[in-house]
Amino acid sequence: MTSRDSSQLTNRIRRLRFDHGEMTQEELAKRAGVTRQTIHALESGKYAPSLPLALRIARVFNTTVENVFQLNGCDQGDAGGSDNGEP
Amino acid sequence: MSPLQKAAWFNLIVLGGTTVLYLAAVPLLAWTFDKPWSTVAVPATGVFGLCGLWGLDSLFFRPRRDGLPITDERDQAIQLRAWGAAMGTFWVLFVLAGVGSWAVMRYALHMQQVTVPVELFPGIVLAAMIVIFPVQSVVILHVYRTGETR
Repeated sequence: MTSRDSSQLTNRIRRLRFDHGEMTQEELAKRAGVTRQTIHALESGKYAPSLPLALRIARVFNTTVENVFQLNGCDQGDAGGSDNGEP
Repeated sequence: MSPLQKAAWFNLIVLGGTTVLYLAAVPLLAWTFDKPWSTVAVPATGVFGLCGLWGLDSLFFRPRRDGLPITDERDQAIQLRAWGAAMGTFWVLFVLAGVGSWAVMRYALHMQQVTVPVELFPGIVLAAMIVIFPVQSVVILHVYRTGETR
């Protein structure tokens, strides 16, 4: 992922953690299979996760990826850019 | 501190210690064998064999008891970026050294044919290690410090 793409990526991980019984970063890291530092970097907006990690995090919160991660500045249908295969 | 950071610090400390030993070895050898510093400077590079201690950095990547992963995709991304920077740096220096030495000998010293000692080849490997490992370590520490890994 390029930095231009990821600069628009935000997430609600911190909010979702507190909504799920004040889950700690450590617990989320363990359940998502990453280190606590990566969860911290995600919450700080300093790291854009891979698709598998985004899916795992969404699965931990029993929600969709779109509910966890948002691509600001882009309409939902435009998120794929010009490489969506459509004419 | 992540294992990658610990390994980076370890690598830099090993290189720093080895460099200090080298700088101490040159005058010591010159004084011991009553030779000029320029003569003992090359044999003294043998102390850089201590850089083999870099192999011990794998000790920082032992499995954790609590089941959490030691490194993850972010660490791997940082390591990949650092590796790219280190290889790029070495490649630039390698090309400059190769083409530069040829240009100086060919056009400044007007030497048509020269011979190089066979020790040059392991020397290139040593030089590569001495450039790649520290640059990689510095980039790793820089990226973790700034936190920008996206």
